[in-house]
Amino acid sequence: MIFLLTGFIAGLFGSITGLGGGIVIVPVLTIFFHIPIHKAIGISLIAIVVNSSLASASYMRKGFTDFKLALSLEQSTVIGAILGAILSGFIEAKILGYVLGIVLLFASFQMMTPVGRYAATKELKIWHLSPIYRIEHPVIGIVLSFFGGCFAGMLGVGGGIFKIPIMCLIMKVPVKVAVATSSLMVLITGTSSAWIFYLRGDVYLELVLLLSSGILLGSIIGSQIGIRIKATWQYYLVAVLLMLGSLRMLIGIK
Amino acid sequence: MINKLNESTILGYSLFLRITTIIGFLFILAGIFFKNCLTIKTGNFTEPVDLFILFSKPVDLFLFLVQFGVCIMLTSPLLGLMYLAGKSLIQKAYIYAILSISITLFIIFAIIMYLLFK
Repeated sequence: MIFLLTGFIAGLFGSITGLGGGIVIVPVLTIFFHIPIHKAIGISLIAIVVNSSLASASYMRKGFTDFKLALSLEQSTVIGAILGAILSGFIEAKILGYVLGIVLLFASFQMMTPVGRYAATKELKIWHLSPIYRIEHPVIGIVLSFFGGCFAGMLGVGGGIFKIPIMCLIMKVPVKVAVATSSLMVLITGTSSAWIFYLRGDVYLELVLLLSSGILLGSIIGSQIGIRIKATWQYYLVAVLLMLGSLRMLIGIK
Repeated sequence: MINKLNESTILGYSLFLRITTIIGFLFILAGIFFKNCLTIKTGNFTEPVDLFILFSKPVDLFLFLVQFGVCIMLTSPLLGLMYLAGKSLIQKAYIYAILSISITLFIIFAIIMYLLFK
């Protein structure tokens, strides 16, 4: 029952915020059930793929997803993730976790400020299922996505936690578009990592069954909430989850 | 060159993702009927089996259904990207086609590299 509930909560918050859901699943599996970290990440990645598939499909149907942005940022993210996976054998992941924890904590505080909030929560127009808005600093965004992918590859995470601050704070993307676009990007990055973990055998099938049942329900409800919720509330929820994620990295909880 | 994807492509992609995920989930869910009980005590899980034995010798139906379901769910985003690339080419939205194809190739390259050097 607790796995179903964990899946539901991960699916709910993962789809409302576009962060995927690994932020909930991995700590629960490692802390409460003492599942080895590699297995926990493998199970979490499959759960993230289920969650992001349904969430991104729902956001697409409402026209919140910016395909060009997602596909452009994903180019550098995937290259970064492959490089990160190669470099992970040479760099101490714990130290990296601390550095990233500080950066993300700073980003979450920045998101709370009126300056950070202004661009992300402004009114959004949708035309023929495509969002109409203006992107700032696209090159910086692509370069930072490369490093985001690199860190995600090193730490073995989906990377949603890096994508939302880059889009909202640097590229001034409205939060609804950032969440929807991040869902699609997490789906693509998560799929490539999930395949590696799956082929390696780092997945418990019973847990996939239980978690995906909860995730499916959470994702359907969460994406509907994400579509209807006020942009300001969604933005604050993302900032709070980002803060929790950064604290998790700083404390050293996998 | 067209700068935006048309609505039918976006809706088709969305529908494809939904249908394949739900079909994959139904396979996983069907597995529950072929397992007497789920061992959820710590350290008492079924050890995962090699994916490739599914196609080489008969295995437990639970394993087959769950693994098949997971395979469908993990393949659907890649097939979805190929669908997006194909539709973009027909629509002459070449930038989307190039971006979709290159991501798909990156992912396939990463999986092949893993299989070769694991």
